[in-house]
Amino acid sequence: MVVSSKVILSSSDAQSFTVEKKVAERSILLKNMLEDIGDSEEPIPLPNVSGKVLKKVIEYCEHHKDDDPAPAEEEREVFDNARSRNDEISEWDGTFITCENEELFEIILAANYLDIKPLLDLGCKTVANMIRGKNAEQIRELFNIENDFTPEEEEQIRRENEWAVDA
Amino acid sequence: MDLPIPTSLADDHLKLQQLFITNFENLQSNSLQIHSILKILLQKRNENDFTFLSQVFLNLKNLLKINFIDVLPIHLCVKILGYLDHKSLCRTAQLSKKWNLVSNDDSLWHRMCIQHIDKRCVRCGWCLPLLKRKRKLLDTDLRENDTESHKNKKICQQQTTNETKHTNNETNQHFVSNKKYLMPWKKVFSDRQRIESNWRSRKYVLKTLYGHSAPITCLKLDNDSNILISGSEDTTIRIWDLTKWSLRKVLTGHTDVVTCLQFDSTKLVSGSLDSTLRIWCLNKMECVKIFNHANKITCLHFVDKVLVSGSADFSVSVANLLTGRVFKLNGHTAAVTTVQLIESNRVISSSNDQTLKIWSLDTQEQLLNISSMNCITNFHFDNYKLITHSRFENNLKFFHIFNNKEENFKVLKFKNYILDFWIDKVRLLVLLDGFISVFQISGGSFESEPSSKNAINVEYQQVLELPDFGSKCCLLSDDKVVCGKNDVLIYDFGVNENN
Repeated sequence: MVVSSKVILSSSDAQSFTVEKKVAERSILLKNMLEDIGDSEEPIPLPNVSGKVLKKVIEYCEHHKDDDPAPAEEEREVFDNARSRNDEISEWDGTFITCENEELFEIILAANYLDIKPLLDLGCKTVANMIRGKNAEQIRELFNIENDFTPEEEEQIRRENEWAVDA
Repeated sequence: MDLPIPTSLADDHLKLQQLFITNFENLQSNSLQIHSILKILLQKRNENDFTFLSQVFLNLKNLLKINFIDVLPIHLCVKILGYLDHKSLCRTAQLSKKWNLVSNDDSLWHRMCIQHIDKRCVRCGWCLPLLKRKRKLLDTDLRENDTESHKNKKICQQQTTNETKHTNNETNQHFVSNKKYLMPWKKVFSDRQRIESNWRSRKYVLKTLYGHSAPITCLKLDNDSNILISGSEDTTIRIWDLTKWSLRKVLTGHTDVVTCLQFDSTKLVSGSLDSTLRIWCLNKMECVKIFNHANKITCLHFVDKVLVSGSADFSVSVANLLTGRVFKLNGHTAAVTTVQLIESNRVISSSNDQTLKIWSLDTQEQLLNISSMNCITNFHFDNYKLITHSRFENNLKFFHIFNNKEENFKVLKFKNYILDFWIDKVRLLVLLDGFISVFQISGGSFESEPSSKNAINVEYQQVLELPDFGSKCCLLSDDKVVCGKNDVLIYDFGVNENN
């Protein structure tokens, strides 16, 4: 295998990106796909990812190309538990993921589709951090959530969740 | 970002324009179309349009905020919420109907339970009790033919009605028709969370049970049945039902001070200074067998069919309740004070001869002998951690025992004499002269390996001081502290403020 072999990725809006195979393989989807089709000059179409988001995802994979490979499926549960112990986001990741909500959710969707677990984790963690420590009104404001409860329902749900207040 | 809406046109237009343009620039990454619309609006602007434009901008900004619950697949929403703590989850449950659904997701709360119940959460440091009783009730509910299950099911249904009283009728019907209904994990979590926060916020109800006419010498509580049994210097044994907070039965028969007792779901074994061990049937509430000994019985412990007792005649007796075979372990040179069976083949005993011995039941030989400076009144042993206490001493000694060897040692000092103590995974209860101190594990190893040298390096922090009035013994459970001189005092931390 040639170390510097390249892969061409084509986004939903037909933008092409040439990346190192190593970079593309951060995505489990692409890694499996490349294993199946072998080396090829043909661009790989990614109909679920726009050029703008794909560019961002490639930026992430470039930066993390030398990280340890993602753990195998059966190890993920263990890995999940270990990972959940730290909510810390590295400085580079923090800067990388700072973007408008719309883009953030597009990145999450792309990471989910391309199966890039660390990026998916990063995106989800970032959203969770936006929610944490805010009161209901602030969260509704942040995500433009419409309160569709009747006053009775709202009171009932408030009582159901009372136990968690200032415990 | 905040964009003030101008209240009057007299506002500095230039400043406003600047602010608007900056905000507009920030918006660019969002959508090309909106970008071009705004561009057209901006080109056609005249100065008086800024108020209008600001409002358009604000509205657009709101539209651009994405309620991700509607956009992302459910499993991703659950994943995001999985990073939140229980407080945040209870807050997000109140945002909207869909948010409520996702925030109450059973898998989220199941993970929350796994992280916190019966072990200390690595993030928040809380450890919630297992509360065996409630889980068991739900288990037995699944066993149709069990004779016990009818009684249990009733209680279980009561519980469930209680917990679903806020939800709609449909859920209730669902439960009645579907016997495999299990308690939602959120409820499992909140029940335990409430108890733990009651401990931490020192919220309890004090109950007193009257009956004994002389000091209580021994207490045992069964969480499964909520039955408390006390033995006393008045020679009686009293069985209390903590569900009703009432006396169920007085057992008479011993002719001297009852010194020790233990019970399981069917039988009660008691020992007395009258030199007998009595076995009582808890269904018939009567004595079914008497073991006569040569001397005063000071302590006992049984597991299944093996009953071990200690006596003032320095011996440890081992009886097989099935075969009736009895043999003695001799070696102590003073009264035996506490005995405990370890697994099925070892016994640990403490004595006023200032030693503590581990015996093999197979060879009937001593495996370990630990010498202390004082008479050992009481100890606790959990397979690797041994804690001993001597009457009228103000310290507890922690030993690390591994492979029948004493590996490590440390001392915990208190300000008063210790009369009794009790320890579980999270708390340490120490009955001191005049009050009870409750300690919480605050650091060090929590679930260390038995072989680890750090096994006993647990740090405790006093969290609670409860008044006491001359008790001789005490008991700690997941949600209760029990002590008492003549009357049984119960500090109940299982209180529900909604009731």
